Amino acid sequence: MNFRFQNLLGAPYRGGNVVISSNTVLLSPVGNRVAVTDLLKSETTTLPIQSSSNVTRIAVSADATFLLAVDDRNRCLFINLRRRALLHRITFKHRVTAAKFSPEGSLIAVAAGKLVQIWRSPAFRREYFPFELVRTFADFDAKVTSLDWSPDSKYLVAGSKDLTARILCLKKLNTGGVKKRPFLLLGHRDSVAGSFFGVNSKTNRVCKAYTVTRDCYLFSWGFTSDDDSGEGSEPPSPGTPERDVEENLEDSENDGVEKRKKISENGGVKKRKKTDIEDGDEGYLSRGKWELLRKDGFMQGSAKVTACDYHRGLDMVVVGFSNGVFGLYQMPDFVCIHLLSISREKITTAVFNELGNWLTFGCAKLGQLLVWEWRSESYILKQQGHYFDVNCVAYSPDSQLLATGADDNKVKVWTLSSGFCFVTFSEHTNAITALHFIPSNNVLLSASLDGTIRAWDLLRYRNFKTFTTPSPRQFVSLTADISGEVICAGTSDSFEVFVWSMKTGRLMDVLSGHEAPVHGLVFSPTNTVLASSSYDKTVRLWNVFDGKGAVETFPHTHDVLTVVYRPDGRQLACSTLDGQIHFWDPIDGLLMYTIEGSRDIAGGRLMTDRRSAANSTSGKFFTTLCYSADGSYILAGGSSRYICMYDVTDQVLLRRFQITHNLSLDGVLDIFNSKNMTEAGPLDLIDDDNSDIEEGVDKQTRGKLGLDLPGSMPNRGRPIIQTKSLRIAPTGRNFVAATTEGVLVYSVDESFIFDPTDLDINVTPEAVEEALRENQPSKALILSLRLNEDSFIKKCIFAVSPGDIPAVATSIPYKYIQRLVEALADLLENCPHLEFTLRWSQELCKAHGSSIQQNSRNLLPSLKSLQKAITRIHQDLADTCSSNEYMLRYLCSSGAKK
Amino acid sequence: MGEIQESKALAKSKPSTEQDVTDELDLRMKKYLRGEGANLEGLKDKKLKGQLAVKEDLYGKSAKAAAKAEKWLMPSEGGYLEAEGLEKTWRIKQEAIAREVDISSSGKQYDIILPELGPYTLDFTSSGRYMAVSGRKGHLGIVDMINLSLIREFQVRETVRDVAFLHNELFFVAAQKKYPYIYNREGTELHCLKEHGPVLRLQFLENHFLLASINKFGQLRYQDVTMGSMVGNFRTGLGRTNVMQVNPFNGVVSLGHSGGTVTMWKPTSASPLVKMLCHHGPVSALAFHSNGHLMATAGKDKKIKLWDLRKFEVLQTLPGHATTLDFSQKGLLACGNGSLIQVLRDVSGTQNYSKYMTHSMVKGYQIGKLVFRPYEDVLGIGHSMGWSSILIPGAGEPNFDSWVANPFETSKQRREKEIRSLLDKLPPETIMLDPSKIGTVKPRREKPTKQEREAEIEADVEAAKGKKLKKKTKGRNKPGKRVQKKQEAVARVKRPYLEQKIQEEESISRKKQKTREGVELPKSLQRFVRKKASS
Repeated sequence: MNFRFQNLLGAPYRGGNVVISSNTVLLSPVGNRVAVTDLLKSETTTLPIQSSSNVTRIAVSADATFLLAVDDRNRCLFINLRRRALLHRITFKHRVTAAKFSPEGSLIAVAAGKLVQIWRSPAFRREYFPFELVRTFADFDAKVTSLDWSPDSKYLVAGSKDLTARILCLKKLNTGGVKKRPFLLLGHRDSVAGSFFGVNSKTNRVCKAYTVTRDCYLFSWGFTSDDDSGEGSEPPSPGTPERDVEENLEDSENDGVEKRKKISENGGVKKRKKTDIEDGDEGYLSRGKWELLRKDGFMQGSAKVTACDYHRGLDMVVVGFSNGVFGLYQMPDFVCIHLLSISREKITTAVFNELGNWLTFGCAKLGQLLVWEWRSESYILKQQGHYFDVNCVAYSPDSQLLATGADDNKVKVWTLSSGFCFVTFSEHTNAITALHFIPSNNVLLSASLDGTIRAWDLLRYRNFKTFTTPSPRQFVSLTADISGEVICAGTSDSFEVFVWSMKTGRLMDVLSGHEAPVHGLVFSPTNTVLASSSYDKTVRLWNVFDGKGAVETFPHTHDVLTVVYRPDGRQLACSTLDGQIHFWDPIDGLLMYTIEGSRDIAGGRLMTDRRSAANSTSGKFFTTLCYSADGSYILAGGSSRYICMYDVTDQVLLRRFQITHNLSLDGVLDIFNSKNMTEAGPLDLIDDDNSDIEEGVDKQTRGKLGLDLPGSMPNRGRPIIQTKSLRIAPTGRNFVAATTEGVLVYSVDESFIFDPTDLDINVTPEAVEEALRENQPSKALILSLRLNEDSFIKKCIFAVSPGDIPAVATSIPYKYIQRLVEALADLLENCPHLEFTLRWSQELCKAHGSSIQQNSRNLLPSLKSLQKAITRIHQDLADTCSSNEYMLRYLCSSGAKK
Repeated sequence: MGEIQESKALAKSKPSTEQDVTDELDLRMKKYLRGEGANLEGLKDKKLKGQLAVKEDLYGKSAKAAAKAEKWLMPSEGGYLEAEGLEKTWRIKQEAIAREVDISSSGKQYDIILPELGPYTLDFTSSGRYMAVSGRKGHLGIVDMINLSLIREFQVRETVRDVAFLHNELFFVAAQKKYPYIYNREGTELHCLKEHGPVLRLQFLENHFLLASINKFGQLRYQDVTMGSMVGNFRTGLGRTNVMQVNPFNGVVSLGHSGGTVTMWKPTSASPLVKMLCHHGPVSALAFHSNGHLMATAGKDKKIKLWDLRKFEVLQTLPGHATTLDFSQKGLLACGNGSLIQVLRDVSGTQNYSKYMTHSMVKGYQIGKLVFRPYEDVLGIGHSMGWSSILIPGAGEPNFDSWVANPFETSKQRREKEIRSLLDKLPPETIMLDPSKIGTVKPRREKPTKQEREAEIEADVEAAKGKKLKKKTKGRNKPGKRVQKKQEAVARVKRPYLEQKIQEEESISRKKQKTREGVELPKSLQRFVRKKASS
């Protein structure tokens, strides 16, 4: 019963910015969570930490230890990325539009509204208020849009919507008593979409800056120091940034010189050296002049720049436009290397990785996330989720695959262990309403509102059979019998159940009798009885093969929403509109017991509700049910933020999962905050989003199927949290829920193991030898597995005495099982200690049998090699034994004759 | 503490004597006299002397009549803050002013706090009686400013960027998220102007009944609100802007752009009348004096400049940054930036503005729009938490002309005035930079036309051909000789005209060369010429 959140599928990206840390780890916001994708191992997981609303900005420190996530309501979470633990929280007063860690990691620059705030990073300190505000710059007139640090963490360049970019100095240079103002980089005609520092490759100092404006122009600014030129500077021309109190600057310089002389006269050698060092480094950008070197246009017609990034080492700029085109340019000569189109929707994020060879693009409207290597022009990652709600999910019989169908007419198949979608079927022309895996072979069935049932081959990835009716019907439920020969589907417009044969594809029967849409359809696991539920308050049992009509009818007092069989076939569970779950005995036709669940499932208050959540009747029923594999408990979900788990025998609520705390969705709160209620209604429903189709996306988006039509919904298409489908894996160790957030995966397995010995500096051959000498075989084996040296692994295996094999096998972490299985397979083939190795293999399978079974797809090569080794040894021994037996029989018979 | 004079009648009534009345009348008469009288003793001509004496007598009588009319018809007097000794006028706070004025004036100093639906922007009618207020999150309302009653308040629940009254308080326009909408006084939606698009700023040209708007794509549109026709539709080509102002002197619409230029437009021309480079950075605010010859601009390069619109030259450059500017009826200039307000005043009458009053918003409220209320010493402030009203002594015109703008008009008077305004409506063609050109005669060209010149040449040639030749001696009167002599005569007659034509061509080419060698840039851009660097 200890299910915990494990992963979020179905939506890899919805908006906000994307960050790549450690060169290969991709972090992207998904709803109010952050998804972590390892681009080398091709795995994606989701952090279990939830924000209070949709995450809009994330930032990662340079050493990939800390993650900063800011959401719609300006709340910030400070997360330890390695341990996935939430360390600190803070709330900014204004909307955060950019956030960046300094290169040395001790400071965080946050653009909050018109302000640029410098906070000290709390790191691992335990303090009452860990964030410390170091400096605030309030020079801007409009929202700050971009930030960039200099390599020495002393300067910032910030672009704003007031058509300026400013060079901010962190230290307060108060020489001569005159306060200095930041440099103004003027000349932009639209808001600044990106601003970056460029460095001199020899001295690693800032010598130039780039600003990209929204109207497709790139400005190159050059910096010249005052040390060389001195006198005789020209008067400022148009385009030269203005600098206030120019006369006072000269006076302050003279004062600085005088001070320096005094210090040198007074101090000794140490003081003089210290002063020289400080004078040399301090504020080198403040003594000089910035000027516009060149201005280049991207020539994209009426498109706008929506995303851009700059790589300092390669001196390259990547720009994403609102028409789906991206360009890669080599600076300082503005040479176009690539100009390609991804789609026709705007690119909302474009990021370089640390080395600069991979480009990451995100398209929020399509939910698309691409990682592209620009030198070899190949895709590293190409993921796109459903961009409408997921309607149904189905597990494969071995629990390795998950199929999802959504309102975007697509069926996607995901690998649960890696979290990736590896195939997408898009032949359907309307929303998918039901999915079913045939238990015996690799066939997936899907039902749709377009009037077809399609069968998909998961080996050849194609649609090999289509089932239709004489006149088109909208199918809303789907099932197949245990052998996969008979397929049944229920409709919502003609209230009939259609029966097809899988082999011939012909329509065999039409079951009539229901008077309302048939939304629940299930075959008995043990016999040929079909159960169907309908909105006409009845559940009917049919014998499909006899063709006699309804066998039995179970009446109810309210509409029946769904029906499921227990896996042993002796119990039937159905949910009704009054929030109850009824349990029937299908053999005797008796009502066994009833669970009253309307209080458990009660949803929150919607944004447009005029009544409180306790008085509202919407969302107080279950729309989806699922039995566990052993039939001991049942999961129930509906139009609510909860998933309820009930014990079937005792009819008690075991646990209630709240699937999200995202305040950007409707129905998450029971009681509203009165500060958000105004005379015009709730503040969130006021259409004050000033973003048009050309601008970049500041917040996360999701597709709204038909919700924008006039008069359709009064809450401006704000998604309402609900669970549409629930499935428990056949192994019983995890379940999935198709919700508004996406497909949530809950599991009892520990998907993340924090290994305290996972420290590279300690893993040495000497450490392995020392552990062996100290008679610690378990530690030695783990260390050798991490070293991945074959000789050491085998040596440690033999160091374990036969009596200790079970204990050592149990203590090995899961991630090393594959390597150990490979070593054992090799030993079986080459080593004479046969019984010892077989004993090892047996104990390993006993200790980690469930993990091996769950992840057999990954372990398949190792397991096959182990099986091959055992089979070959078995054959060799069998030949030897047969030969011995025949020889003995011959010798005995020949002795008897003589 | 300085002496404060408010726009109110004289409080004390002295016991009037004949001498006091005469002295007061003489003081008023001096304002209307045309200087000292002429000295007529030196004239010899008795007739001229008599005529001038009669004229001087008439001047005196008319000044006296004007002084009497002023005494009864203009009861209020304007006044300014005056500092004594070491005091400064900008140090005087609103609390100090509130202690010195009467109750009705101190009631015009208030803060309306509406924290949820802001920031707010506002607009006054031309009489100053009604105010339209709009919050960015869809809050719209009309307020009667005399008794501070709320006439109508409603919510549109979407972005509202600007609000403007039409010719009176019966109609106003709100620039909402996608289109501008026209509402009436009771809040009923009358029109949705879809052709304008997502409008950023709205202005109403009162004498021409034109609604001018600039939208997100930089398109300037003029619409006639009496007939609903779209008079002008221009693409500025200079990007989006929300800096827009109408010159009340001539009806020319001015736009401030992101490149630092200010353009001036009229509805019958697709190209701007004037395009002047005012600032290095984007123009952030724009304002016009009511006399039409003074313009104030503010830019992101932290300068406020005052321009003479007759010569298009900078009169004054002030340090500081402003996101909103407004001129009052008496010429005070209000600058708003962040949470600070500065009011500048022309003390000496030589277009030299200096600091007059300052005001700081409480709790750092961000100022969105500053509007002087007509005929009152009141400055309306639209800020991020509502709107405020502060007293600026000397800002408004103390005496209103009820034929022009009547704050106390009845509904019957409003209807009559509306009819008269419609009858006096000016066509869009009358909008030009110099409105005094209307009604003058175009000067006649003095140079003769090409046709006249050719006719003159033909006449001379005909006269030369008709001349009778003298009979020559033997051998000199052959037909070939006679034809040759005739041709020579024609050429002799044509020679002066050809020489004149050659001279004209030479002078034209010399003029062109001179022009090319001379000033490259127009006069308004000469201050930006880069001086040649000395070696």
